[in-house]
Amino acid sequence: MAKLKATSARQSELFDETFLKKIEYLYIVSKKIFVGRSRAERKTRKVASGIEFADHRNYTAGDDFRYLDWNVFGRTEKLLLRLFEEEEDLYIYFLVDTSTSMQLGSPRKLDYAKKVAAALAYIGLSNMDRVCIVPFNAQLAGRLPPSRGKGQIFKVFDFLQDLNEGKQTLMYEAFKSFVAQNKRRGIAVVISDFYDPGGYDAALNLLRYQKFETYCIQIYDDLELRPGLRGDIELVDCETGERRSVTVTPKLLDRYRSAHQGFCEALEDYCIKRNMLYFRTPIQMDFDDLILRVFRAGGFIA
Amino acid sequence: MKFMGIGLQSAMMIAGGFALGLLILYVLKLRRRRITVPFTPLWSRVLIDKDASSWFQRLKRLLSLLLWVLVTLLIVLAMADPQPEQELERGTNTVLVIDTSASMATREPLEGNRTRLAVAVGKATEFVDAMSPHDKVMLLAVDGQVRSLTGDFTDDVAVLHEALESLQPSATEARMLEALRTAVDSLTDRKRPQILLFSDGAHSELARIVDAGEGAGPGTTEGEVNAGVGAEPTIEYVLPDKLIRDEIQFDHEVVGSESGNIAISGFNIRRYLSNKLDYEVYVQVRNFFNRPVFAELTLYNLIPDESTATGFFYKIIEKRTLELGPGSSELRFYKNLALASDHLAAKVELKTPGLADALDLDNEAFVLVPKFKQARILAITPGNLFLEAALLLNRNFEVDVMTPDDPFLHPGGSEELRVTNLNKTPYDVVIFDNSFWDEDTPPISPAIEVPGNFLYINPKGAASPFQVSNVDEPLIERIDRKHPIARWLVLKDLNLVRGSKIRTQSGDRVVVRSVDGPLVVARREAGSNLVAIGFSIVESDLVFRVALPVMLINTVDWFLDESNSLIQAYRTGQNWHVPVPVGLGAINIKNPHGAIDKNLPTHEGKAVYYGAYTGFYALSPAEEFAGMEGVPEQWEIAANFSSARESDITPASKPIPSHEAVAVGEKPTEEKDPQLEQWSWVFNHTDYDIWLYCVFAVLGLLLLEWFTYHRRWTV
Repeated sequence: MAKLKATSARQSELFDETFLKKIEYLYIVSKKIFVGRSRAERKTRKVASGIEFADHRNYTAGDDFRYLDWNVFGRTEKLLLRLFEEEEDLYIYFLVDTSTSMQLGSPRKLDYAKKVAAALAYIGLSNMDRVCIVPFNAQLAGRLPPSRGKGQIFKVFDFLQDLNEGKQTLMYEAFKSFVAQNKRRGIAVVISDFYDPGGYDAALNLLRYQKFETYCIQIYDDLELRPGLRGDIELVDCETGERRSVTVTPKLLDRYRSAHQGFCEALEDYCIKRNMLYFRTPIQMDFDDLILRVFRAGGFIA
Repeated sequence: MKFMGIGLQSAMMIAGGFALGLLILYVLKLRRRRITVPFTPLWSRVLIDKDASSWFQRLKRLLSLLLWVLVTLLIVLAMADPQPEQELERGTNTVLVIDTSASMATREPLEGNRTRLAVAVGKATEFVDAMSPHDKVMLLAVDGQVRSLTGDFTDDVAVLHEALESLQPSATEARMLEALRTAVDSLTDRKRPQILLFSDGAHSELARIVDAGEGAGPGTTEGEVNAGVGAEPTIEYVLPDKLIRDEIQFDHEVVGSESGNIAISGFNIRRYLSNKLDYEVYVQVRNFFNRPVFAELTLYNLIPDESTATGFFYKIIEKRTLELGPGSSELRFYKNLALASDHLAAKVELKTPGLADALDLDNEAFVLVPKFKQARILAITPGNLFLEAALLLNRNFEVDVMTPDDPFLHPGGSEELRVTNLNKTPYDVVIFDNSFWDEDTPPISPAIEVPGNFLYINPKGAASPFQVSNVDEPLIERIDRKHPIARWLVLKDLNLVRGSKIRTQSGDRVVVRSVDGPLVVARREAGSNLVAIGFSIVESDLVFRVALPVMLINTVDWFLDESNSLIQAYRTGQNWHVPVPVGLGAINIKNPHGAIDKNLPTHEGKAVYYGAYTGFYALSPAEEFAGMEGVPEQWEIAANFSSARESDITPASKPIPSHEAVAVGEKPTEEKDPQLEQWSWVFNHTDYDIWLYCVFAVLGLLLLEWFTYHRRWTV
């Protein structure tokens, strides 16, 4: 009973019940069809004992007579075997960036990322998909094993709640471990600010090459885009500790904004060209609006 | 521009120190704000061609530094409190004139028995405490002298307090007119001048009685009129011109209330003309109450006694009770006194029940009996019974008569010995009667070379100290009555068979002049006193007149510096011309309170001294003249406060009205420029608190710095 109360409290920190009801009937769209492990609600390429008719094929020796289409044999005297689509579950991996840069912002970008991950995980669990949470920074920082069913949502909450602050962002190293550990392909939702000194492209390519359907959700703070800085300051990188003396002028700020905008657009361009869904959201954006409108409009969920 | 706060040098040092500190802080200790950002590579991209230490940024920091240096300088400037010269005169310039005359020692029962001076000081202190920082005050104390106790005008309240607390009443009158003139002169060219007079008004210099009304005589003072009974007097007030024309604001604060006083208004001793060995003492007591009073008058002989506080044992000679009518005085004489010492004192004490004598200062007086001895006179004459008779009849003279051939005058036959012999004789006066002063056969040595007193009667000859030319039947034209020799001398219709016209030289004083020229001449020369009479007394009818012995007595008295009249005690509050022994260049004077004024110079046998206290003053030679032959180690003089005017302590009935006063000689003021007058209100009402502006500027700069700081323009 006490555990239930604690879990309920953690849930209220992320979502309210009304929001959960709103997203309960949503599901994550997968353009690809992945091979599932259990029967579920996702279409597979398997033609087996499903309900929905898929196609015919010629009968070969050894096929189950039960699936012969006798009506076609009666008309054409050809033995054709009826094929049915089989529905399986989908693996959805949420790669949540827990690096130091995600600790910034108000609310913290990490908190916002947690909420996005939790919401999407709930959608997945509601659709009997297997949801796996994989936090990362310089490396993988734990893992929530794939879970299935809405009843597992509290595990997701607990796991997200207990995520600790990481260090530097090294996406490539982390994703290399991820693809090595997770052979079951599925959707890989990367929730990050993508502030990786080593670059994000190699890491994303790694996922792409390993046949993961990759979705990128970039979370940033509006203050990162429009910092209220003026005068002589010393910039300190929160992850690397690198220092840089700079005299901030309005002109310089304009150039910085352009650079930030360019960084985001480059990421977006990268994703689009590689057929990856990309979303960019500031932490100031209303969370409900993000899930119910932006993601739906972008074809992320339906 | 003057700096009224910290000094310019200190301000410069502080400013320099602060500026240096700021420079060090800015140049060496400038720390940038640390801002944590999530991803510096983004910044690096935009900073490739942007150097944080560009010249422009350095310049901006320099501007910030200069801003702070400016703030520092303004703060230091505010601390220095700069004032424009004209600003220093923005406040009022006030001369506080405080009466410290004797009447201000009157005790006031209504003021807790404080003296009037204490009350005046209290009011002046209130004024000083209420001064604004721009007001300046000069403090003048006026009694027998006018003294500035603050030197120049000052706004230092502590200095003024100290000066006010040092005021003491003196036994003198108040020279109020001189004080006001001094105040007016001090306020020349000063802005917003004013004079504040704290006085009881018990003085007459500023108030003349034009019509004293019934029972008052000419010269009656306001106080005397107030004390008396009669019709309302008409008083004319006298003030300097500028006060009347309101160029200088004048206010008179009257201190004191109706009080009564009895005083010794006169106390003297005089020698009888016929017998100078006898004295007569008189005391005058005056009642300043407006009702009859009884007073006890006591005459004391003061015996020196070091064991007493005053240094004297008061031995009563006589005590008597006097009944004095309102405003009246009574004179008492004491003859043939047998005195144990030469110090006398008189005291008066009020004995009427229910009345109090408010002023003690005038209740005691002192006098000194002068030492006197018979004058030894040597008359060198071929034979003149008239002269010898006139000399021998006087009991004050001890006369020796010799002929010019007397062996005393020619002991060794040589000229030098005669000179020496004459010099060593104890004679105070030598009279040469009808002596012929030939160069070859002088009657005696050239006596004028020997310091002494010499009377030449009808001198003749080329070697005579007085060169004469004969005149037949000279007629006396004029007598110098101011010379002591001519005192009481009547030479009207004097018949002279023949005479001489005396050739005078520089410094000679003609006492008697005939139609033809000087007939009697007095001369002071090289420490000697010489008098020449230019006729033979036996060839005139002077020998039948009383004028002969009178003239001889006057001449001897002038020689010996004796006075036939009153032996005056000196009067406080005046400059005394104190005679000193011949040749004594400087003296020391010790006043009755024990203070010694040293090395007072003398001039022509007199020292000038201002005495403000009653009592006995001890005189002695200055150190460099100590032990000088013929000079006593110490001698004394007495001083009294004998001022009926000042003893009349009735305060003025009202403050002196400046608009009703009559002007006394003052320069007319210059015509004011109407154009300047038109704009005077601008100059008079402009505020020039520069330090305040500095503070505002500092606040403005700080606001600017705060604004630019938060806008990150300068950091």
